[in-house]
Amino acid sequence: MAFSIRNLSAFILLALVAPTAVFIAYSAGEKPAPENPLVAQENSAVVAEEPAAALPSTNVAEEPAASLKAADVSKEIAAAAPEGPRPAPRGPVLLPPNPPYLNAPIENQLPALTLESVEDQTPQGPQDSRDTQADEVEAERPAEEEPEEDAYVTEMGPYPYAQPSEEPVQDGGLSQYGQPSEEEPSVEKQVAVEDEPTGQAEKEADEEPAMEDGPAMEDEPNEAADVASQEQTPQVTLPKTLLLPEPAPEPKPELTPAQATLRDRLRRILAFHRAELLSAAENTATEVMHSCLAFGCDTQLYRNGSSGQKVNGITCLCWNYPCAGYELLGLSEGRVAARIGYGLQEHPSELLAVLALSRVQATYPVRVGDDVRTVADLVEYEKLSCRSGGDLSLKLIGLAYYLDDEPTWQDSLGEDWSLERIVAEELDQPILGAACGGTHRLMGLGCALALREKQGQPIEGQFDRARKLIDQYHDYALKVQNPDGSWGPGFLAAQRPSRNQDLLRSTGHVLEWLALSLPEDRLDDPRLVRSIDYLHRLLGSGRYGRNVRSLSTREIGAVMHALHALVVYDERFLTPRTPHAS
Amino acid sequence: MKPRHVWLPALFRSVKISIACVLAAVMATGGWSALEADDTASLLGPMLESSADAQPESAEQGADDEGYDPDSTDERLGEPLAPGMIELLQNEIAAGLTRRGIHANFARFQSYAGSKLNATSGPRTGSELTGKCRLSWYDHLLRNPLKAPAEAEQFTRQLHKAVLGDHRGLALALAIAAEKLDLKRREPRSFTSVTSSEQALEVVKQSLLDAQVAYAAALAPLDKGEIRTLAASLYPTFTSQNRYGHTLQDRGTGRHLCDLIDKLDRNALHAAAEALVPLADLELLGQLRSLPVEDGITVEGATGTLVGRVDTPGGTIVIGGSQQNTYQLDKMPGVSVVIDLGGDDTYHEGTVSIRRPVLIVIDLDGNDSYRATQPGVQGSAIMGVSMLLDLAGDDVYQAKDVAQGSCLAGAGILIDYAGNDAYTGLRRAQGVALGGLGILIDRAGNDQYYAAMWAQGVGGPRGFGLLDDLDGKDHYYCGGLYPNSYLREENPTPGYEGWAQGVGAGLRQVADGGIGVILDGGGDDVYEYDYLSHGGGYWCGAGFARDFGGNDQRLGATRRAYNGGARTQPRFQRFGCGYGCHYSLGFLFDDRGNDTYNATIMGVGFAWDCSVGYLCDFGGDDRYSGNEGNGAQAGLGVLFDYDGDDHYLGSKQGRASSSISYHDLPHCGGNFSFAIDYGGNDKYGSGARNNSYISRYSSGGFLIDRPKQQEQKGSEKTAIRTGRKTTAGS
Repeated sequence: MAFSIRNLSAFILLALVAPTAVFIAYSAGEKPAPENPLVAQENSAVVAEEPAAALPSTNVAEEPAASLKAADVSKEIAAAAPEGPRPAPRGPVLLPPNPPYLNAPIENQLPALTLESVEDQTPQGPQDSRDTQADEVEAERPAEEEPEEDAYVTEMGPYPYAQPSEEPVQDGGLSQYGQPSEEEPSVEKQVAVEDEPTGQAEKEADEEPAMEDGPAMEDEPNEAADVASQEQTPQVTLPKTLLLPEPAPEPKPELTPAQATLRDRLRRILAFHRAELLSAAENTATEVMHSCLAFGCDTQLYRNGSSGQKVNGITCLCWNYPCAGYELLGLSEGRVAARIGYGLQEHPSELLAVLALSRVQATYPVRVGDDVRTVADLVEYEKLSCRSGGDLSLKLIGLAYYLDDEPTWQDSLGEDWSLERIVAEELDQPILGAACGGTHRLMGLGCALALREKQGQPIEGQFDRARKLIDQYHDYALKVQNPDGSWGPGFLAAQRPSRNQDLLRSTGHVLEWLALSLPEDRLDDPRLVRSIDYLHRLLGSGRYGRNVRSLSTREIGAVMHALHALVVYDERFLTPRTPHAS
Repeated sequence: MKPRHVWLPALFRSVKISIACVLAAVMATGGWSALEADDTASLLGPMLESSADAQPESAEQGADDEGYDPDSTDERLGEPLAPGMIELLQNEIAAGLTRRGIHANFARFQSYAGSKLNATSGPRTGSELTGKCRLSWYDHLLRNPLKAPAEAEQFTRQLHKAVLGDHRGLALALAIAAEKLDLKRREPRSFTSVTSSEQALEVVKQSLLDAQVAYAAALAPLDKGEIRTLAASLYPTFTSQNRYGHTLQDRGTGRHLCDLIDKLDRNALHAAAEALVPLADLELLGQLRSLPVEDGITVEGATGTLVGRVDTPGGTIVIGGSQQNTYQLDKMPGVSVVIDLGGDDTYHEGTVSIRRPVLIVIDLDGNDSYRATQPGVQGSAIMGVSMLLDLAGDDVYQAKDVAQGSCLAGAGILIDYAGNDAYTGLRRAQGVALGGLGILIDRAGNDQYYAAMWAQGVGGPRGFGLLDDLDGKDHYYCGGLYPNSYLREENPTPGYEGWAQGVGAGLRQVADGGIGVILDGGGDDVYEYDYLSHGGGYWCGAGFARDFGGNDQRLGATRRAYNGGARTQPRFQRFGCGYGCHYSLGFLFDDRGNDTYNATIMGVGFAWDCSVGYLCDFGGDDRYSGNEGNGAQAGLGVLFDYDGDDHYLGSKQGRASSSISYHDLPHCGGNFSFAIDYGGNDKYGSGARNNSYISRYSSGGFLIDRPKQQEQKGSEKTAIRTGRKTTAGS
């Protein structure tokens, strides 16, 4: 107890003093803290790999002039917004051109959109992988080289990151899409909703016993499990760090035997939970969003009930399929907005953050009734709805991804905003006591920093404050970790044991943030490994080992954040050190 | 009323009163004239302890720090000397126990109550008494029965003070409620000043959004099945199936539902109500009057001129024009906010449930009519959050169950700012909460409150129910419909169920009670109530009633039946006016005026079965009819009257039976009864004389009548000697 109180007191003092000290130090010209090695490395990689000219051609083509200031552009967009066809979004960008992306398979489902202005396109539902590939390749091309829409499908070969083989519903391409329903004929033709092929249920059933073996699977991997593990491995293809493209390949030391064992166990648990699908009929939108957080564009759901037709999670959200009877999307201020409340978003900007972390393109379609627009429209709404004093954490995660050239913009009240202002607003809010223990806030700040570094811009002012704060929280978080690898129910508040249900939530969130934001050379910290072990144990336990979809929203969120933490850790630390991964 | 001592406020304004001040004040008033110096010294010890332990960090005390609160001498806050009077009472009781050498018995009584609380703190105890939904403040009060009235006085005063304030006061009231409901301590909020209609609309949007977010968080710990169960069973189990107030028809389901309520994120649920507080800002409401007007707005379910519609992620906001409108709220499911600029409007239904969990209705003007037959309406919610603000006009609220600032597992707030209003409900109406917060505030006008059972400031399990009428000559009625449950017993007594007017009531064999409060700021008010009503606690609950001014009549049993016809049951009222029944506490305070108090049996400062009941009147010539300060079956019952020529019609003042059948003697300590009157020329139905100190039936029975300082002139020494002689045999 004394230890905890001492730590807490120290932290409170630190939290109070640090921002001021940082500011004073900075103002006085004090040498900033050593740069995060990972960030530095990635920063250089970004500069090398993704110069400004490499931005998707859509944006380049639509900008009035390269030298036009961002503020001017924003004003122009704002002026044009209320009437006529919607202007092409200024801020949002397509996926960066450097594969592989986080959970790439969403691109398999993207419609065959041209990269012309969005309003000129026929609304499309998700298509097959070739379309996505076309989009990405297109994104790399100069605008003047844009091919005709039809050419994409015919020109491009199979997308190299196509759906994993154990998901046969994705393999058939256009010809396997379900028949249009009576209610939504125009949509059903385009959406990735499939009938479960014969034998799928049996195949899943074959996979489940490995999970039901429980401890045997965890501690003494058997041969079958190893096979399953190998089959699942290709699914996890994450970027090296949050929002940044993969840095240039560097030789990594191979995993130690213990680390290899950890990897195998971790991947088995991921494989199992990936196959445990939620149901759009039963689960609310926020639960689906959490599932998408964990598995990104790979996320599959049962569309009705607990078997049968499946639908991609991102598709389900963006295409406004009812989740537990609630339609997520609506219109507000002339834009597509995700609704908030029970059964919907449980935090403002939750959908945008999930789309960003899943690396969904800004051109991906979203639908409200018969009105089909794009994610960019949602981004515009999020820009308009910035409000001082509010919880902007998830908005920051989303906007940091979709507004990568740091424009300024005005909210619907006419106030000027920029990412830096959001960072400042977030820094003025407390970490401890914020939503999900402040991990959202820390993650949002990390996203803004990552974007800044990706752009090669100096980390100064508010960004410098943010970086120092995050660095301090890295150390603090590891200090307040419980001996068993968990974090207490107060998240970063203090060490405290509690029920497993509480600790899964806190530990998942904290580890998720650490796995995303810690420098790569700190990812082998034994305290992180202990935390992974802890999550692995819980996620394989009886309560979370089956029928996750029937849990409470809070528990589903806890499971999915924990899984996301494992996914990120695997991608950032284990996969690069696995020889066959590349 | 008799004149006050003008110098007393300076001495008693602070709870932490100094020894010298207390001593000087007491001696000067002659309040302790019958006590010897040694007695006085022995009294000061516990008094100081109580002062030091008086929960200085409570949310209530924040009221004085907020800056917006009226001065403590504000006439609206009743008797400024009330805290000091309560201390006198406290010390009088302590002195009596010491003088008769039964302080050890009382200590056993306290210890016994504590041991029962300890033994039954779990959810399953093998008996019908469990700790399910038990509130820690209730627990604290029952363990400290002598300090309890001081805390109750402070609580009711500060709560009323908060409600008298503006929206910041409402925030403070919610903070107080949160504290009493064992929720996290609320930090002081800051509110921005609203200077334009656009800004006002922004605040509305943000409040709606915040409420939606918090509500979603509240439900997050429940799985789908649990949510379905709550949604389907809350109303029938806790309301519609029942005709008796003390328990439920389906107790098993009731227990399960209480478990689910406990599983809710109740902090978030409370936060959802707090999110709506900025809407009560009068500046904001004033700005809403000048919202821009649009043409051609139509919304299904609304007729009349609509001048605006705003679709937000939190729901749709509909703005009605200044002419007459009719809103069929249940036919407007996507609408979460209705702002009506004026006109005599009619609102039908408006259920708030999981299907539409947040509903805000703001009516800025006109004589409006709110009519509903469904539950969860008119600033009420079942698994939801609702607020109704009506700024002006003589309004009529007609509903049946869970209505008019009430909730089941949610939060409901109704504030009517002006006009002579009429509220009619059936069950769980007018500031009633079970699993959440129910608040009805009427700020002005002569109002009528009418209901049949569980109404007018009732807190059920995990509930905080408040009805606060700040001004006007008001009439409260509850009962007259459901024959009482004692009719089925061996020795039946006639009458109807009531369960109203400041009652914290558990549900026997289901769960412990909550906090129920009724406050009335001024005016000559009339209270009619049937069984178990008016400042009482039942089954591990705590209830509070306080009237801050006016000549009030507490009539006891209702005079007419609920339907307005003649009663089919004889007029008979059982448990009323400051009572505790079955491990409970009840408090009734009246600050000013010549008041009447009536209960047929087991009322008027009465405690039954390890309980505590206090009735304290701080001034005026009052008239009492009932038991008048009795504790039974290991209870502490107190009637305390300060000042005035009072008439005690009953014959049982301060009587304490020496026998107890519910608990074992001597372990339970015994019964403790106090009828204490300071000042005035008083009459007792028992035949006791004015200015006397009498033992009643057993050593635990006290009838203490003391003169004021002026009354002692010329006969002080004689009076003291007489008093000593009288007490000698005690």
